[in-house]
Amino acid sequence: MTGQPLLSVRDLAVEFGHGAATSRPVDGVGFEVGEREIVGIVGESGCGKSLTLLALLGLLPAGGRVAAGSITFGGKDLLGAGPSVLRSLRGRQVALIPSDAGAALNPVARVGRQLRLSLRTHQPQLTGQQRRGRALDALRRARLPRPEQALAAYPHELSGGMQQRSAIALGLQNEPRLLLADEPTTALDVSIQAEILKLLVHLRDELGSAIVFVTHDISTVREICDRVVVMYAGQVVEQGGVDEVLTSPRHPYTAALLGSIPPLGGVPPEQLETVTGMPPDPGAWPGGCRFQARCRRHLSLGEPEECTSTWPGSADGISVQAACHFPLDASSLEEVRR
Amino acid sequence: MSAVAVAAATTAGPRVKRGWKIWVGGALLGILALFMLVGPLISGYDPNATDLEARFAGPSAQHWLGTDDLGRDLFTRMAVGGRMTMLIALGAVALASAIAIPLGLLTGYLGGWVDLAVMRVVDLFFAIPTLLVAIGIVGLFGPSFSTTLLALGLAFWPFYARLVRSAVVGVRDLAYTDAARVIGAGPWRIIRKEIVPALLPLLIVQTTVLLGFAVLDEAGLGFLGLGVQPPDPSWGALLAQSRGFVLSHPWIGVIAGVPILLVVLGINIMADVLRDRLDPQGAST
Amino acid sequence: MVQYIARRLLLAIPLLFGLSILAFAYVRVIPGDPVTAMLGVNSDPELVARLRDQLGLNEPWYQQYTSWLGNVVTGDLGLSYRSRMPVSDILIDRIPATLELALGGLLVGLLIAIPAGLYAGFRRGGRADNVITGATLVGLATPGFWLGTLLMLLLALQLGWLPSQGYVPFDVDPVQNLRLLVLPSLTLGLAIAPYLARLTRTAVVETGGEPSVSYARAQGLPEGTVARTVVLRISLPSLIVAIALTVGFLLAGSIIVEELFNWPGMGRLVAAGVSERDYPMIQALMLIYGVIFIVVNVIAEVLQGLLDPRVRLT
Ligand SMILES: Nc1ncnc2c1ncn2[C@@H]1O[C@H](COP(=O)(O)OP(=O)(O)OP(=O)(O)O)[C@@H](O)[C@H]1O
Ligand code: SF4
Ligand SMILES: [Mg+2]
Repeated sequence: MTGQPLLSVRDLAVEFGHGAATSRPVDGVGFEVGEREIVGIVGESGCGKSLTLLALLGLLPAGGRVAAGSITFGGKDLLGAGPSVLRSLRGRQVALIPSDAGAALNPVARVGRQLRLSLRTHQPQLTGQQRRGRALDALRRARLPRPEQALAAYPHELSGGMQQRSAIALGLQNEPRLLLADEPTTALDVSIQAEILKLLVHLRDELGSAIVFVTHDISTVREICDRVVVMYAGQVVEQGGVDEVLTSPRHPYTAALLGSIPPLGGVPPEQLETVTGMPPDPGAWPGGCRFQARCRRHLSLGEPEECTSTWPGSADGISVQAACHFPLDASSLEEVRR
Repeated sequence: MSAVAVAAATTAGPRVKRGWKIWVGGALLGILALFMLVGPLISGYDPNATDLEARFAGPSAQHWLGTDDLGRDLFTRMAVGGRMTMLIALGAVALASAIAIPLGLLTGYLGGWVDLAVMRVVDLFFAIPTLLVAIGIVGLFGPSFSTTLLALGLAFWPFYARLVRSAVVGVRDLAYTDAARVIGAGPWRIIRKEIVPALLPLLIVQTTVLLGFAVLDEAGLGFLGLGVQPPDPSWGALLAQSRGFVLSHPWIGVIAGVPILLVVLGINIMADVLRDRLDPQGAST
Repeated sequence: MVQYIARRLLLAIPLLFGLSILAFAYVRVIPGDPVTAMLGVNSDPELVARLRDQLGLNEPWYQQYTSWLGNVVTGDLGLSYRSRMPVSDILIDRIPATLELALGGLLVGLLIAIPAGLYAGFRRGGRADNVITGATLVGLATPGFWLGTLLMLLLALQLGWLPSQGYVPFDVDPVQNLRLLVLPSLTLGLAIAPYLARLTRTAVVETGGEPSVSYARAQGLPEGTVARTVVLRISLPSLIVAIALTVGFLLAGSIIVEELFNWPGMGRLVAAGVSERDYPMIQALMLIYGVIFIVVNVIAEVLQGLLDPRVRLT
């Protein structure tokens, strides 16, 4: 990465509740996204991926608040910015691609109207005629088969793939610098998933937008991402270039995640390994390393004291590549894999 | 796991309010119950004893709330009338429940044509205003204490039956009922052991809500002169009586509505409290 | 859409049919003999026999029903026991006043409840929401006629701003008609407002949790636009249907309000009809109130279909 990153998140923490009922589902997340970069965020359900994205948009659910950290986008501090600044960024410079477009699109407005409404908000100088043209253009760029028809359709009249393309059109039409895609393909058939992924990569190449791509699926990360951020229990446990992290993971959790997917190009094993056990509760994080209760390496090393006493990461969540007291190397990786 | 944290986080606010509610609702109902039960004893008047010397007396040391057109003590009549109204309301709700709960359980559980037929009848009752149904029944039997009770009970059951039915449909297909069926439990056993316990919170809350409506509708019938008949007092009958002289002696009409408002408010607050406690899903809004 | 409307209309037919059976059966379940109820116990047996024959009471019930239904459909609702006048003639005179009052009450109710419900729903948990929710709770517990009495005492007798009761037809004196309408419709409106406000607030709160709303915010749409084009627009169709279902409260309220303010609508016939055991009248009133309810609800469902493209499919 050269020069200033487009987006820089440091030591981000999100809290809910008060007093004894306080929970901190995001607790010290840090990563950077460069211009035109596609960064994947992976981790188990509930580890705080969606909340991280929502915090970036300033749209945490009711009762949630950013308790610590900083978010800088294009050199601007987003946490200090007022609601009107954030609103002018949303949909204009940072666009969200929802996971289930069928549920997210306004069910009682035609697709064309939804596209025009966003254009009118963010590009008020356009005439009605121009807005119509732009909307149609956006649907074309999102590769909708019959864009004129889609313009006049209600969301429920479209197929799942077309709904997702409409949402992508909504995201791209204002040519944002950053797309936040939260599991954008989970609601779709496998064959359509691949097309949507291709479309996203294509958009990055064409528009030059950077993409933060949240997913459960490491094989997707391998296909489209430049870098990957692995989250566990509200924290970043490992990050780096995709090739590096996915071929020689250094954190035992990453290695375990990788063990739970079929190897690239290889024959899938009889039974996929899953990470056994449950992640801890965000209302009561354990001290030390949060993965310790499920960590095989911890076990095989004879349960060393450090794992329970001190957090192996860094304060800002960025500067350490793998948050582990005993990162894996080539030989120990083999051992964990067996 | 995290569901616990979420629940804890989201209930922290309402819990403060809930405590406040239970005290206000409890105090309202407690004071009114005391008024109805002990009021006539301490006032020392017979509710139907007339005293033509003291007609339309204002509140005073002798008559705390004044007297009516026949010089009867209003405080005593309101207390005794409250007993009558509450008896009617409780009876009507009991009657409605006795019809609606078994019917709702059965139709919801069995489904099929029984369900279809009963629910079409229920739909019909929705089309005619409840008060009009009750009035129609009064028309059949003539206005009296027991007719009012019967009329309200018969007017209320359809609403309640539909509610019970849809709740049954909601729990009927849950896995545990299936499990019970596989084990070979008969329908009554499943209804009794599985469905009723799951429905109990809803039933408790709805009975309470219905009680509030019953008090209001007793008063409505009374106001139209179709409720408890003179000389017996009930809150509705007192209002009907006060209409005759509301312009010359407004005090009676004004004061007679107050206990109705307070009791129904108390009942509704308690229904809210119960809903928060017993049926958190229903309380979400 | 035409298909959707046709289906809604078709669905109303069994309901109307059931209503007619109910109304018909009502007169048959009167304890004792209806003719005796009409003429009194000590009447001439010959007169009783003649009336029985005239009313067709000697025929089997299904024949009685079909001939009765035939009459009803052609607008013949029978003779009022009391006044010996055709029930339909009496009702025709009364319906305009009731409709005027019901519309006035509905208008007042909506004007109070919709803004209050929207405001409370959008500012859920805030101070305004607490105040409005509290007022709703008190409003739900307030007997309508008592509230009307208070309003009458205050606005008519104390302050003298409005006439206390009575009615003048609109075509005779429009201004006086409207002045007389204010108190009754205010009472009726205030009586139904808590129900409407609660429905509105619930609709807003429920819709507020939909993914569409957070997605609209994520698009950077201003809050006002989100409220109007997403939250309100999504909840409106089902809200209309929910409000139509409360028309029963409105009609029941109108019976009492008419009584209180001497408003010469159908409602005043209800209590009088029952006290005088005028069964053809009670029967006709059940039919009319039921038909009003069914018609309003069909209209609401058609509106729902117009406003929500998804509903048309079902
Ligand atoms: N509104 C809320 N109130 C309280 N806690 C919440 C709330 N929303 C989320 N959380 C907590 O934050 C945790 C992380 O949520 P988040 O949606 O970010 O997970 P995720 O990583 O996106 O999971 P998934 O892969 O299932 O989408 C949840 O497990 C939950 O405990
Ligand atoms: S710090 Fe210890 S427990 Fe945590 S991942 Fe590393 S080895 Fe496992
Ligand atoms: Mg998520």
